[in-house]
Amino acid sequence: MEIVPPKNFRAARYIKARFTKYDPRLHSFPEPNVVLNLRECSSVHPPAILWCAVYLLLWSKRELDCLLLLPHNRAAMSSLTDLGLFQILREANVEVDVEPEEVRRSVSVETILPITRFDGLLEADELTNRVEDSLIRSGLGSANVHPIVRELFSELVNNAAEHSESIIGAYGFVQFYSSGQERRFMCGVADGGIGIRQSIERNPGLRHFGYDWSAIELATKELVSGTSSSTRGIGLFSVFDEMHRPGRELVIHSGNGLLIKSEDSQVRIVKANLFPGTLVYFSVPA
Amino acid sequence: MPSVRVFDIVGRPVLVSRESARSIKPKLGEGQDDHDSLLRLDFSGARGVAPSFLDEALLVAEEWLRDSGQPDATVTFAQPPTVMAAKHHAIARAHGRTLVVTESGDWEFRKI
Repeated sequence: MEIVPPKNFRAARYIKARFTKYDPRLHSFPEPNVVLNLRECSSVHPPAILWCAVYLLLWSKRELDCLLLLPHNRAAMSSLTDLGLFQILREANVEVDVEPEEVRRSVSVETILPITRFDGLLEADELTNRVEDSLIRSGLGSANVHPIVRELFSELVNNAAEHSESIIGAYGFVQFYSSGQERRFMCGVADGGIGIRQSIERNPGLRHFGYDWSAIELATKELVSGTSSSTRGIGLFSVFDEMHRPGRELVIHSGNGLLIKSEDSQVRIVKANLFPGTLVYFSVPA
Repeated sequence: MPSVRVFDIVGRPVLVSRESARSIKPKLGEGQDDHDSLLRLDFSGARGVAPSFLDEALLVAEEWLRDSGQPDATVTFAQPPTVMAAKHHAIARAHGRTLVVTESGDWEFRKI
């Protein structure tokens, strides 16, 4: 199977549905090999890069032959290089069609933390403290925004480490974007795990919940969690609550559910193409 | 009032996971007089704290208070390294407590 994303590849939801109908988490994946063809992409945005990483790593874990065809476009190549995609693919022995050339890095983006694997709560702790150190060292953005980035990121890595049950671990990144008057921190955490719906169905009071998109909506409410503890369920609620201020953007894509809170604070919860696990992406003015 | 320095126990500037919050439990009550009706966790030295860590720290404190026979005692978080927000009140509510900020900026989780 050859997957060809759109030229302006912003996120998994923009891929044609026929490319995402097979779930790479399942053993019954029917294709012997998969090619992810980014050749014609003129831009690849961070949530899309996380999708590429999770898909390729899941395929690789299933011992399918998988190959990434790199974009011809230099800006698109810069995005992949900046975010450290090749490093994590190399670590997992995923094949890339040609050895990426030394690519000039984007002038508008500074990477605080490239896509980095973590597994378990101890590594989630370490990763957040690494982000804290890098934020301070970088001197980028307003110092009063750093705690917001740090707290949001820490809750997301906590959630992924504790609830995802991902066979490929989980991955997080933090970037600083600057263009003209606009300065933003962009952060993402993704895993190839069971997804939010299955996770909250672990709670005996929330069995057989139904749809991924309804589960995402419920998971952003206060005190809803996959455990039966009456005090749990703060993580996604706190992230969602924090993102309600204008100018902040949040995307939660889990299974076939998608929540988008745009910069003008409008919230949409819809059915979407499959994300085989959970991806949370947020950006805040810096 | 004796207090437990959380940063000294966890050893990281940003307090993140529930697992690391659990590590403070063996230190609770050190230097605590039987007559003290408050439990105080001192967060000075830390630069940040995740809501999950705070929630678990409160849970651990409540377990200790329960074992000490004073389940309704107030738990104080001194010098919390974060700005109070709705999520922190949600944590207090989930524990049947109300969150009050003292004049010195400490957070008191008082049993309702």
